Amino acid sequence: MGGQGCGCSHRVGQESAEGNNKKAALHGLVGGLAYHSDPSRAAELALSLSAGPARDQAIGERRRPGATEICKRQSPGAAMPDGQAKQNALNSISWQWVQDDPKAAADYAQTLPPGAAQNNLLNSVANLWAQTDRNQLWSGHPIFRPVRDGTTRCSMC
Amino acid sequence: MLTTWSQTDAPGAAAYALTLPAGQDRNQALSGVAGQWAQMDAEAAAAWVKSLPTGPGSAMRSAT
Repeated sequence: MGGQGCGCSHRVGQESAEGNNKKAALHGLVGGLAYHSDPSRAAELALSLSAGPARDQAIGERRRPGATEICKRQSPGAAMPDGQAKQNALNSISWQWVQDDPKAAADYAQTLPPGAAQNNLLNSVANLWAQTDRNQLWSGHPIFRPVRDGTTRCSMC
Repeated sequence: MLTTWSQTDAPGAAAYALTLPAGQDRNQALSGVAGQWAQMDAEAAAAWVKSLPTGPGSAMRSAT
């Protein structure tokens, strides 16, 4: 098992002791949930916590499959609204998500509204695409369209 | 020590962490216990975190 402890540069500033207690515990909790054997349940638990900057920051700092699931749940209409939290989470996990499951990340990118979140995720997809055998990895995926020379090209660029 | 403790008695380790003097050590202890607890019993760990009071002026204030 891993993930215990914070291990990042998380700072709690000059807030109250009670607020610091909860913030620190929340940070550890989300870290632990990211290692949960059931990412869907971990996502539900994380998103059941009180909405706020501390929760969103804790989610956004995670780069584990559980965090990926949490991020995926932050689609329009899900428990967590669109906005900066979603942006932070996507920024943090997009690279790892693309490494773990590039086609799922590409699928999800297509569901995002145009904007920074979609651009960041697409950039991560495109970076991996550029480093791999694009025809083998991405053949048939709707995000990439075939072109005349037999290769594929991102349909959103 | 707290990591080992939280593997065998997470509620006890959590209670102890809350008694530590305020500061970085306590924050790290709370984070570590919560993380370890979440890996063993996520439901209980989440319930504990939810039960912790949110201090006045904290950034934890609900956005809703």
